[in-house]
Amino acid sequence: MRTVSLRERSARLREQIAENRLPILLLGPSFLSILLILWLPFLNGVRISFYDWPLGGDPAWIGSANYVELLSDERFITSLQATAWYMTTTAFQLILGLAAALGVYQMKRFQNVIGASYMLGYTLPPVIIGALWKYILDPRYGPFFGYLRVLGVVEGPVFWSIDGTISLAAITGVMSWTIWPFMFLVLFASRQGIPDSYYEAAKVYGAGGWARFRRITLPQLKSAILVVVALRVIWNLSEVSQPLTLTGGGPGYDTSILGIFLYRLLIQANLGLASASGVILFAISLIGVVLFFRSYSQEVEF
Amino acid sequence: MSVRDTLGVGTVRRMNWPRFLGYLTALSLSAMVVLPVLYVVLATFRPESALYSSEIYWIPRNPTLENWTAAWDDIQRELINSFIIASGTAILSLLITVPGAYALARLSFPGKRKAFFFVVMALMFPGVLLIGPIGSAWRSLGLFNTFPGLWLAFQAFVAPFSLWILRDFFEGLPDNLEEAAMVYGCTNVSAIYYVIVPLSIPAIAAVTFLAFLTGWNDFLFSNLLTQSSHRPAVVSIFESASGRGAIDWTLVLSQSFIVGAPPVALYFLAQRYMTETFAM
Repeated sequence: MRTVSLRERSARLREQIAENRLPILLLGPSFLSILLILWLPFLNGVRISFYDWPLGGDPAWIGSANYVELLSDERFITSLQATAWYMTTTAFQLILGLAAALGVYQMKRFQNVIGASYMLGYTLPPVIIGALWKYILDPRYGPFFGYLRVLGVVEGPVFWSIDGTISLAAITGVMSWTIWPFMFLVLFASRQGIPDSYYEAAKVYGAGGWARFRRITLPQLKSAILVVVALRVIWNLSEVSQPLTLTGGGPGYDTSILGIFLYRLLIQANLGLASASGVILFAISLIGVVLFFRSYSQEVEF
Repeated sequence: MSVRDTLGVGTVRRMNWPRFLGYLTALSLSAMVVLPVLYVVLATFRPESALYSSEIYWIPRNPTLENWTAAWDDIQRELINSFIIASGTAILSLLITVPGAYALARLSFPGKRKAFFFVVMALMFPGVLLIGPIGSAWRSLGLFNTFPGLWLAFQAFVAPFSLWILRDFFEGLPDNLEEAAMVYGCTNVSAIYYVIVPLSIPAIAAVTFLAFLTGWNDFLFSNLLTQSSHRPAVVSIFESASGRGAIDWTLVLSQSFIVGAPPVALYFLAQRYMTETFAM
């Protein structure tokens, strides 16, 4: 191996900087903000997770004690289970978004109006979604259980907020209601990109509706589906304002999905334990990241 | 569609099942989104006591605006805070990401692919992780409970997304725009301002809207990085709606729509640009 003197190396670096002064200047602010506001705090969070760190108090290094405490904490286990159930929302979002994309594509008129109406819930602030649904699902005067009473499905008010299972179903349902239009937006755009000639050719060969869906639509949408699912796995994990407003993470910790669990620890000013649960959340969301890059790099050249 | 359908000369109109099912699905999903919101909007016009009635009805009896005026009087300062937070976030993100996206799209330099990869990685980041560390850093930097503190913090979500969208758009513009601009006396930097930016208004409008939406809608950061004087409207609604005890629905529901109206209205204004941007 040829040795390169320090001076030589620094001269070459200086030359490279001089040659690329414009891109460095233009990209500088973007890179600095991503580094300083995203990666630096994240790394700091990983560090904090090894400390007993009361907000505003004196931190003390305690090694992996936070992780040990979390994993032996029943509330954390409850939270993990809640998260697993809650993440089924991604599937509901996909089914609704895909149905809407294929449905709207069949329409000859009013595509824009219908598509725009879908965005109503998606653009409202998450806290407001939570508040609206809290009224709609109110056991005594909300219309949801009101109609169920009229239909004879339930008798009398259902005080669901003390029932962990119904509460979990409620936050999963509300989240699905809120987010599926995002899936619609992406999948509708991809559906528009499938050439009609594919379907015409399939018809010539006698393919029925179901066969055309399975053999043309699904494979053509595959990479778009993988991309939105991966993105939503990550974002559903960290978008917690709707369920937080709706249930506050209760009863007990039954609807404290990981993001809410983390929030509750922060409110209690327990920064160390919150960061440790954040690192675990990050590890889980890496599944989504891997899925994303595998599907995204198939489609797009970096 | 066959020629006969188009000309309308088919003698017997066969039922077009895919189209029928398409309409049915699309319309029911639209009803599923709109009806719950509509029910609550109508309920806000009821007199106070009727909001707490177990009877289900849509059209308010003895409609009144009382809830709305009371709600409006109670949330003005928070709305101003929300506006400052959201516009600052949007402006800062443009200043940061327009030049950055330009470099990623139209300049060649070593490590460009890696640089873009770095941006997309940031897009994948679960934001909730950052609240604790940023909260503690902002406290020691004096950024806690300040508007600039929030403007900066939101760039963690907004900047990667804007960079992604703008880069895509800039890349789609014709190749020799800058050369042409330089013939007319632009420098390579002023060409961005005079040529690239004006041609990219749809994409810039779209990312401005998304950044504004983030600043206006976000709850977790706003709640944990501010105290009462700088609280935006969503935080105040969270406080009145999330309690375990009795909730003053007359106030909460009308305020919800007051706070929800600007993002929805902006979305419909920006929709044309959004379609143009994402269609590319």
